[in-house]
Amino acid sequence: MGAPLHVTLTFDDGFWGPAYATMRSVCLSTTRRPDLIFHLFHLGLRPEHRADLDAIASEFGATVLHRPLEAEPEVAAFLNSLPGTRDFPPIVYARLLLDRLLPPGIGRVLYLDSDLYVRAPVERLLEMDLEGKSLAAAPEPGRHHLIRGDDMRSRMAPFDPGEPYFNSGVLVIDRAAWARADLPGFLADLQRSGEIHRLYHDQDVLNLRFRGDWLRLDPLWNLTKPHPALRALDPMIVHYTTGMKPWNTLSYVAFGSSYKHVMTAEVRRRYIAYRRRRWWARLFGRPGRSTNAEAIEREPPTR
Amino acid sequence: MTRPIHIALTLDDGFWAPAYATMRSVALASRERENLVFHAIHSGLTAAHRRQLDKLAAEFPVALDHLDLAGQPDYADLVRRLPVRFAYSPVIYARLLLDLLLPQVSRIVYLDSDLLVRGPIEELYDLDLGGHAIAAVMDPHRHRAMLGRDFRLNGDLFDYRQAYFNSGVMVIDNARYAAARLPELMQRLEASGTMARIQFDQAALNIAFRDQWLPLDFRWNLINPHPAHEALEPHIVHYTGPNKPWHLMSRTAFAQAYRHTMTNDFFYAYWRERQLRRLRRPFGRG
Repeated sequence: MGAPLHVTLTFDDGFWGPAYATMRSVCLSTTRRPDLIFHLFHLGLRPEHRADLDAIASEFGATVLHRPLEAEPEVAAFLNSLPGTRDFPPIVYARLLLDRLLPPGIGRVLYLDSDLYVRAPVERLLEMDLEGKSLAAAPEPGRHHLIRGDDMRSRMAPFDPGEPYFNSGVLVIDRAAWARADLPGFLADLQRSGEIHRLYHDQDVLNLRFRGDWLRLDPLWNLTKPHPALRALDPMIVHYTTGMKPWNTLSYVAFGSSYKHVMTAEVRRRYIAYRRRRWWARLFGRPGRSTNAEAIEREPPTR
Repeated sequence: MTRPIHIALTLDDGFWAPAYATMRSVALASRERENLVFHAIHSGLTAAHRRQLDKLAAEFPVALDHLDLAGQPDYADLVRRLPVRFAYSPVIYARLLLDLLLPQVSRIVYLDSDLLVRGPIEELYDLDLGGHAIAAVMDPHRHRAMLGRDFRLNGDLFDYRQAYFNSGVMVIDNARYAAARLPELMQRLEASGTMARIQFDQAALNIAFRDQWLPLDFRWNLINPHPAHEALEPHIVHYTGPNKPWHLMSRTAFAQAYRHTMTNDFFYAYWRERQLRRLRRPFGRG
């Protein structure tokens, strides 16, 4: 066994299927499976879904550690106090609390969104040289409109389109630097001043905090809006950011077919049925079975 | 201003809004806005559209210098002899005169008016040209552009294997550009009937600067953009081909960002102008 490879995901029950596929793709793409340690932080994960994720450990010999955040009322209350939407439920902020949540003794950790298909060994990221920066991330292709708004002038602060801005779906994190950045304190300040409501979820918060202090990854390490034509580029990590999700039967995205095999037919079948039930529940005004299903619906998925 | 960054565009009145969007995108993405000097070289630009372009200098700390070709004998002399076909306007030829029109400038970034610039233009401006007259991006359509139908034409001028650049984005060393004596070359090409069988001034530029230009990464001039290309992080998107981002139903890379860069007011005003022009055309008033 080599040095441990720490990978972390944060998700709620609504994303158990894609989280399973993301984790499985990580395992499939590396030869160092026994070194993998997944730190999972979740809200409202049902026991049967947790069992699916645990099966990764038996299939690949990786370690899967759970930390249900609803068991920690303070953390859960904090997350739920932050502005969420259906596409960005409060759990997206959990990555900002990573230093508080991760066990001690971890120097480097890879944060992954739960809608990814990892196609390259994660150790290439985890063992890269951060050149003294706090994190590494890939640029966000939609940044200009995202940070400037309508007519590229409706939002003049806090970012300038002339400066770099990253997508927060894949983050190579230097733990000590994150601890120093005191993101929970920063977040609490933004909340007190009300500025949090003018920010684009966790991604703006991270870009604000780590301005000028991050290393640019090749965009193929976080390939957003993955059109099928982009298969030819052999991306390292595919990020399904558009409304077209690879777990849906009719989805025109890169590696849509491979993804279904990564998720496995059996998990995919159950996940689709689960989503259908949630959809009906939402239609009739019931919160469904997800803790965050009642999150406000006001923004289209742009990321 | 600590140092000027000279950017030149050539446009006629029909392209005022795309030219505005191109310049505004440069300003938005630059980290040295106060150093930007735009040279808008135009022909027949109405006073109203000129005022629209001037809004750029009100929004950003940039300089916008107008150069009206009406008073330029070099330009009149050049275009009188040259062919104009398809959708092109004679104003495209003005870029062959950059050394004559902007003699005070040693380095210029020339930009077509159908671009969306997403990266800092100063990176292009500061490029080491390594003694070359021009830096540009290899044209992916070069074979057809050079050798025409069945790749059997113009064998006397071009070779299938040679390099050939797209002239929509050029970093120019003005002294070396001047040394090519482009107006004289154009005169020779026209007199020999060559202009009629090559693709306009881009082909002429490639004849003039063959093996004397520095190839840039394709991201500095991504032609025929498709939405899939957004993931490639292009620095400059060049809307060649039929999918123009100023069309209402446009399916091209960064179409939405382009509309917001042109600004929605100008986008729809430009659309209305084009519809009116189309209506008037049958009556000979287009």
